[in-house]
Amino acid sequence: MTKKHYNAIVIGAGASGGIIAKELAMEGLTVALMERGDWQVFDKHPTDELISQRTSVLDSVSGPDWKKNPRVYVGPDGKREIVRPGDGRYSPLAAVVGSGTVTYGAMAWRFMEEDFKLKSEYGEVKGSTLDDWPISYTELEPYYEKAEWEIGVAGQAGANPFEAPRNKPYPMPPFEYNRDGEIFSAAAERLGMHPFPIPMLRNSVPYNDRPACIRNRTCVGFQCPVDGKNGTQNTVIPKAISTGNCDLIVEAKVAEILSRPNGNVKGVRYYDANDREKTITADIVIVTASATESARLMLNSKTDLFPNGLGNNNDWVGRNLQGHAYTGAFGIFDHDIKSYAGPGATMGICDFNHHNPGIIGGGLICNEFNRLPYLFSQTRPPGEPSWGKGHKEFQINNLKRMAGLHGPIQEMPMFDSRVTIDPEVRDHWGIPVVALSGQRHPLDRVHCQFLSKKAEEILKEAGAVRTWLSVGGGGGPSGHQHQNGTLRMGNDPKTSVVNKYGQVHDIDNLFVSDASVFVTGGGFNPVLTIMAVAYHTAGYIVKNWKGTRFR
Amino acid sequence: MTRYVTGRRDFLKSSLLATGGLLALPSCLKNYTAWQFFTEEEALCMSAICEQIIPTDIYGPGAGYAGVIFYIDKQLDEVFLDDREEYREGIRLIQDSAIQLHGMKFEALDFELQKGFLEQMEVGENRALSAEENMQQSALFRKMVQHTMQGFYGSPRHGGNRNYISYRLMKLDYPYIVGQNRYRDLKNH
Ligand SMILES: Cc1cc2nc3c(=O)[nH]c(=O)nc-3n(C[C@H](O)[C@H](O)[C@H](O)COP(=O)(O)OP(=O)(O)OC[C@H]3O[C@@H](n4cnc5c(N)ncnc54)[C@H](O)[C@@H]3O)c2cc1C
Repeated sequence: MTKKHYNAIVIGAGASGGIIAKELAMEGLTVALMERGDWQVFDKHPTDELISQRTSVLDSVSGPDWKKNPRVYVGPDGKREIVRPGDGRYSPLAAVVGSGTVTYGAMAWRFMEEDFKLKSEYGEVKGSTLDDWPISYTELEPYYEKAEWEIGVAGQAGANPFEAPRNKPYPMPPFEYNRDGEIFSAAAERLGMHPFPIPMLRNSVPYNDRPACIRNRTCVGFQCPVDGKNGTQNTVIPKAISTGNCDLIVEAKVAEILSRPNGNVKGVRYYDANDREKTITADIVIVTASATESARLMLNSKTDLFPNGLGNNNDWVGRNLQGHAYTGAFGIFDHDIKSYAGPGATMGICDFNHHNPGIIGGGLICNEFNRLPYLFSQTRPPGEPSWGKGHKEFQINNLKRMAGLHGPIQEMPMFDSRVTIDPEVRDHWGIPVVALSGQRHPLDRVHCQFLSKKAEEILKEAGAVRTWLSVGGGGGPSGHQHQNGTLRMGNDPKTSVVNKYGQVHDIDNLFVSDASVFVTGGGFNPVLTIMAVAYHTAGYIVKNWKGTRFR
Repeated sequence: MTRYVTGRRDFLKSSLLATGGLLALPSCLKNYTAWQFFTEEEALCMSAICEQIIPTDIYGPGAGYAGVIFYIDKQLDEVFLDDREEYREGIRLIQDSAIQLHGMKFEALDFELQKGFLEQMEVGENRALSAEENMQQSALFRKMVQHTMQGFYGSPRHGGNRNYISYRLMKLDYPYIVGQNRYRDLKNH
């Protein structure tokens, strides 16, 4: 049974929402955790590449429903086109309890100290809204630790010499290198680099009452058949529910955040599992619906005090949409280099995050997650046939002989790369949808070239008989699986949407705590930082709840 | 015809047939009546295109054996709704221009002629078509290539990759769950 009134409504049960709900429920607040999707069930989604969350060709195991959730993509020429989640331009994230954390690759990166103060480190970047975070690594460190221990990370403290200071080791020992990880790490060391085992949100040993990882080939993009991958759906969300204070309301599509005349928020309007329109009220609302959907909710919630959407009186809502251009290189070897055991990425190198002449930020290099057969068929060296006899022959002979080294580059945030609301298109429930527009900064491409060349050096040193670059960056708005930045945190309300605690400027009882609040996206996959920020925000809410209750 | 061949002996038999160059499929398609999107005529043309994209060769069977045509037919009916017109119109143009250039329907051309025809379609240089038509056809061909790859290398659940043929060619066991390295019996699924 859902109540009519809660202390807190949390919108979105993904990486951040699950953590907030648990932290508040443990402190005795009544919480409605509202999720547009449902629990993902493994049996409905066998090891099927074409519907996986990584190569969603026919459907996506974790939603959102293709037919009900259109978006609009605005090309560089201003042409508007309706896109569905299977289309790369849609920037989909999942729509299930746990969201991306059910199917993710589970790399668990802490940002470096420099990542929180890029402007101080590198100065202004022309054409970019690059800035410092209002929060430092040191302030977030205890919350990184909390995420590592509560959600569960396997890794080796100190193995990465560039890692920022930490107080406590990881709770689980690191994963072993796989075959290509072994070969690449030896090559990288010969080149003077510092490879180390990638920290992972997977169990290297039994942890949290769940078994160890079985090296399943179909890991990234899939739910784990033995539950050895750690997300919010098998950690904090069950804990939140078990307190008795948290109602998880599934298939609840929140359409709008409702406000009081004084500007504070009072609840939400949503469509329930049977598509009936409903409202519930709360003392505080926390938006954790992902960088694209959270911005949409804010923009779709208009009041007299905020005629352009909540928190948007200075026109910063939805802007600075970032993600990660992936960049690197491939090589072919004259022996099987891929064991094809899952998930495939085992070795990381942080030598190119920061302090490389001429490069702002930089990025990480890792060996790759397995390319399953269809994805592999779409990956070829330049000049190689894309169909016919030669294509098939390449596929048969090189599936285990081709390996890549890739990483996410620190993108330069762009004011015009953004989420807006499309004036015409509506979803199944009649809610106006996200429109994505803008361009990447030209420097991204330059930085990608730098990182790709480093990756190629390692491949050559490792004995690849043929190598080629695959350079990212360029083109339309960023976003995608690592979408972030649309509701920026900052001290100055004129150039940001929320403060360092995720509290919306001028609306005391409205918070945002997902990847939207990122100032910059780092040269690392984002999820552990999303989790740390969520713990930090929850801590602030709990502390103040005991005093003012945000009234 | 049976869409799934699950027994090992059946598999060996059919793969021998296919590698022997005996393209028994078209006649077999003629008796197939359950098309969801294609007309029987379109299906004959399309399955010849699929076999060009992933041909039978010294390694083993290609798209024909794998039943890629069934995958594409099913998805055009259920998922690729936006591509339907393009396919219909595109196959018509392929047939018209094959007759104009070679006096025969596409599927009746010999293998090398078909290949050359598709190479020209890919780069938009079909002499029998206008510049605009060539542009459309070239885009359609890229789509056909992708769809064929999906049907051949994707899960058999969606209508192609019969008998896990592509995984077998890549010498890939395809475990449903690690520790159970065997193929699932699709008949009982
Ligand atoms: C295949 C894949 C691999 C990945 N691999 C990695 C990795 O290795 N490392 C890493 O760091 N990151 C990885 N990620 C990214 C990571 O999953 C995301 O960065 C993270 O989940 C984002 O967290 P979030 O809280 O911002 O949003 P989400 O986790 O997406 O949570 C948002 C939730 O809100 C719900 N929601 C949205 N709108 C509404 C609404 N109106 N009403 C109700 N509910 C709503 C959504 O359904 C969703 O459940 C991967 C993602 C994918 C898909």
